[in-house]
Amino acid sequence: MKPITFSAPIKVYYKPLQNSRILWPILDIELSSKGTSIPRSIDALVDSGANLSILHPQLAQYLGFDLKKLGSPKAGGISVSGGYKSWILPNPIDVNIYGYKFSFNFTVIDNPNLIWGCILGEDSIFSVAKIDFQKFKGFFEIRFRQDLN
Amino acid sequence: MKNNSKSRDKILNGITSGWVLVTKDNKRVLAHAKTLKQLIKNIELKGNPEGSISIVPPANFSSYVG
Repeated sequence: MKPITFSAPIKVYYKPLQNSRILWPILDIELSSKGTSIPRSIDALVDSGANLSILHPQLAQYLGFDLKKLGSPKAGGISVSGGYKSWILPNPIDVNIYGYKFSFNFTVIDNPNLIWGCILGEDSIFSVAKIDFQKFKGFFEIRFRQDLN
Repeated sequence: MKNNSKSRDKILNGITSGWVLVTKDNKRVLAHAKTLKQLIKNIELKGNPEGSISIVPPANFSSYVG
């Protein structure tokens, strides 16, 4: 098996969120789909505990996905707090992470009260990059695979 | 991508829900709205300032597990 090479590391500092002093591993990402883009970057949580990558319903709708046309959300999703219903978007979404471009599949959870606009999980960011979390130093480093595309 | 921000609870200035556009240095809220669609309209009305979009989480977010 050929060894995989990686890009130079990108250092990203943990960000605090509102109402808390806790710092989070967050990436500023750009989202677009079939000519429609969110005009500003989105805060996306980097979550190795998520099998799937998640998009807030409002983001999916803004990018042109008609959730009503996708039918009823399907039960069967499992989270730490219990089950959830969701839609699997039929098309991947273009994601730009600090100039590195990918197309990722997203699941939309049927919950308008989601506290994250986007969660990048095992099927997205962790499949295209090596991530070194150093919370004790206040940052994490991403090294993107160079064998893709 | 250095984070020179102060805690966001100091910059929210009473905003408790909805969507916000925050400066890249995390120091100021530039726009706020109840929905993403309205936030994007507000961003345009304010002359398209740069920043990143996020959701205002619940007041007590410190015990999150996900």
